[in-house]
This record gives sequence, C-alpha cells and structure tokens, in this order.
Amino acid sequence: MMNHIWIMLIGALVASSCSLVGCFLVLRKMSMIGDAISHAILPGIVIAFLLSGTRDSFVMMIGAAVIGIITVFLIQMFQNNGVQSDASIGVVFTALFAGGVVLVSLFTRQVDLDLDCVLYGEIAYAPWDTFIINGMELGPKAVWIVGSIFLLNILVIGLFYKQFKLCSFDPAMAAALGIPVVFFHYLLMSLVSLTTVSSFESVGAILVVGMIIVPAATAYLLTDRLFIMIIYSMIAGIASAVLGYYFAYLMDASIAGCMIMVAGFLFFITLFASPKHGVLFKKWRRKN
Amino acid sequence: MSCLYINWNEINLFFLIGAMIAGILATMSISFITRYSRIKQDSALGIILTVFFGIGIVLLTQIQHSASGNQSGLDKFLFGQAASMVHSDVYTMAGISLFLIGVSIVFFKEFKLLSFDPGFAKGIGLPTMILDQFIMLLLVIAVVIGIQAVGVVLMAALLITPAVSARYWTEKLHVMIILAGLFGGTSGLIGTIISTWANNLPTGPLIVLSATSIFVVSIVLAPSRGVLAKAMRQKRAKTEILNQQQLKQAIKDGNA
Repeated sequence: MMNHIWIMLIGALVASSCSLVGCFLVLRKMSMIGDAISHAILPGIVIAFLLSGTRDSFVMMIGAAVIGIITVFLIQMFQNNGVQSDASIGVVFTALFAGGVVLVSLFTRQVDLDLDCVLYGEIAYAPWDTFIINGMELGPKAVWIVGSIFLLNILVIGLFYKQFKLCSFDPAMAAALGIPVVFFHYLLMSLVSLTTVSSFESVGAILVVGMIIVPAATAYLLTDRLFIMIIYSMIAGIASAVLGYYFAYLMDASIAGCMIMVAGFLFFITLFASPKHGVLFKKWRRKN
Repeated sequence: MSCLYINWNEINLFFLIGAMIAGILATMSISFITRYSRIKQDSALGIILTVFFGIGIVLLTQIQHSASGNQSGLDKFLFGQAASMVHSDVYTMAGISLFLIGVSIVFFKEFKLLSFDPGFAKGIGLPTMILDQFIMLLLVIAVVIGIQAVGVVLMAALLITPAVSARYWTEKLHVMIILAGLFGGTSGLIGTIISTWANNLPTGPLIVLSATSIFVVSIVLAPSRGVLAKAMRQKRAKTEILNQQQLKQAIKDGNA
C-alpha cells in the first residue's frame, strides 16, 4: 500500500517540477530542450562514473548537470552562428549522445552501466531505493532528490518571477530595462538541466520530457496569464501522474507510459474543448 | 502470436508498415495541432513524440504482461545494429534509397517552391497540403529504414547534421542537397571504417560523430558563412576604417 503512495508522490513531484520549468520553455518555443538535455547528458554520466568510480547518484547527477549546461551553451553558440534553433538542438544532442555511447563501448569493462537503465529509469523500482541515515529509513531516495529540486525550482522562480516573465515575453524590453537577459536564460536552463537530471534517474527520460511539455501546453490552451498557466499545468501534471498510476495498476502496464498517455489524453481534450483556445469553440464562435 | 515478438534484426514488412502508419499519423497530428491551435511547432512535436512513445511502451508492456519488465529489444531499436545486417537488408535499403532519390528529383521544383514560399506555391495552384504530407511520407520512409543502421535517436542526427553542414557552403538548394548527400554518405563510410578498427566500437554513434566532425569543419572553414571567413571580413573592415581615419587625420594635418 505504501509503495502505491510513494510512486504517486514521486510521479506528482516530477510532474510539478517539470511543468513549472516547462511553462517557460513552451512560451519561449524551446520545448525540445528537455529532450535534448535528457539524451545529451549520457557522456556526463559516463565521465563522472569513470572519474569517481562510484555509481553514487549524487556524483553522476553533478556530471550530468554540468554536461546539461554545456549542451545549452553549445546550442546557443551555434544558434548565434546562424544555425536554426531546432537544427542546432538536433546537432548538439545527437553528437553528445553518440559520444556517450562510444565512451560506454570503449570502457565497457570498467563501466558497468546498463544503457537501458540509465536512459529509462523505472518508476516502479523507485520506492525500493531508500534513503538511510544512521540506520533510519527516511523513505525513497527519489522523493528526497526530486522533492528538493522541486523546492529549488519554486524558490528560484518565485524570487525572480518578474524577471523570468519579462525575459520570456519580451527579451528586448527586458534588456532595455537592464535585466541581465543572458544570465536569466542560463539560470532557467540550469534549472531545466537539474530538473531533467534529477527526475529521469528515477522515472526515466521519456516521462520527464513528456511532463515538461504536455501539461504546460495543455495549460497554454486554457489561459493567457502566466501565473495561472503554471498552476494549471501543475494540476494537469499531478492529475496525469495519479490517474496514470491508477490505469497502469489496473491494466498491468508501464507506469511511465500510462502517465504520459493520461497527460496526452488531457491535452487532447483541452485541444478540442478549451473554452478559450479550443478547436471546437473557435469553430462555433466563427459560425455565430 | 509469434509476430508479437518483434525481431528488430531484419527489415520486417509488418514492422515497416506499422512504423509508417504511426509516422504518418504523427506528422498529421503535428500539423493539425499547429494549424488549429496556438500551440507552436516545437511543443506539438514534443507532445506527439512523448505521447506516441508512451503509448508504444504501454502496448509493449501489455504484450509482455509485466508492469516493469524493461522493453526487451528496445535497446537495439534505440541504438541500431548496423553490423548485424545481412545481404538482403542491404538490397532493400539500396532500393528504397534509390526510390527516395528518384522521387526527390522528379518533384524537385515543387518541393523547392514549397520550402521557400508556401504562400506563392498555394497561389499558383499547387496542392500544398498533399505535397507537405508527401514530403513527410518520404521522411518517414527514410527514418524507418535508417533506424536499422543507427537507431532512433541518432537517426535525427543523420537527418539534420549533413543538411546543416551543407547549408554553410552554398546558397543554392540543388547544390545543398547534393552536398548534404555527399556529407551523409562520407560520414557513413568513415564511421563504419573507424568502427572496424577496434572491438566493441558501435557503428551508429561513430557515423554520427563523423557527421558532427564534418559539421564543425564546415562551420569553421566554409567560405563567406564560416567563422574564419566572418572573422577575416571583420578584420578587413576594421583595417579599412582605420586606414580611412588615418587618411582623414593626415589630410587635416596637411591642411593645418
């Protein structure tokens, strides 16, 4: 019984922190950056493992986060050089991912990394990996990691909410007002990188990428105000996590897959039935 | 029931058709979302990508009937197995590639117009919607046969990187297409050769890394658009301005 609650809690925490940063990415037309980061960090994980020799998740997370920020930096660099933004994302993440796969194959004797495992952490196993201090069991590690990243996200975005908002909607005006736009860009990207890295180790890359984009896009169809969009996207994310787990339990299917399916279903309904920007209502309004 | 255990090692006709249907459905959903709502292209792409992947995993776990059983065989699908292909696979791939090249040559003018000025294309009566879907269909075919060699993630690299590299060398579409094809082919050759040097080197990722190297060379060395050429142009402009200023100063001094 406890495991059900833990899995739902982990899913809900991942969904909340992903959709929090996801809103900004969707608004800035950079949704695919989460996908790029979740693949590009593979060499970071391998290098961190080779240097430290441990499979401690904290060391790997640092390696991954560093590569995540390098990824963003490279994407930005090529973009400034005249490469289109989506092409730049594609070039960078595939190159880094390929480098990671080659590293794993080269050091295959030292690296006991299961690629499947690295890329597709399984949320069903997350409750068993518990956090123990002085023999006291403090619940699953994933809850602590994802929970603290969630708090960090809320703290940073709450503190600089106005700046982030202005940078997303009108970067030119933000720059004119003296807001360090580049700094906030990289701050947001660091948050995305940390969120992706911390979550996908326990729940798998595909769930993270989905939770960054799908709930935020759902909320984007429902409102025109950023604050409300963030709240809606968190609600949609948490609902997908909880309902998705329920369906996975009923159908005996992949948990991450079901959570995304529910998120996709919510998006689909909103796409047609949203009172503000839904397809059906737009058609109806045009008729009248 | 045996067909449910998908053997990724051979180009299976059922697998091809299934993948193509899913691919066409995906591209149609993406264009539907971007056309009829205010969701932008990148978000639509991400939504369809993750939701389709999620549905795929759910179906796969349903087949295997275990909630947590990791997707068996999926790693081959993700990373590719160029080395385990057999003769008949090569013939199939060569045939499909020739077909794709032929179609691209036949429809070159239409595709060109569609890429540069879709509004004008529509204006002169081209069926832009159908052509758009047709390009997507060709893309899906290319992806489905490419997955064999390099896997799903790195397929993106082979689609994007050679084209972006080619863009640096020319301003003409037909030159760009030929260059992109050459770059892609060369990276395939180099990657495969390098992967035979040592045991355990994966072919797909090495092909991608070769393509990335060509990209880096292009971005640095390309005439007029490359980093070096730009820097040199800037330097030349700077010295020119400096010279002019010196000249002006000299004239002023001479007048005084």
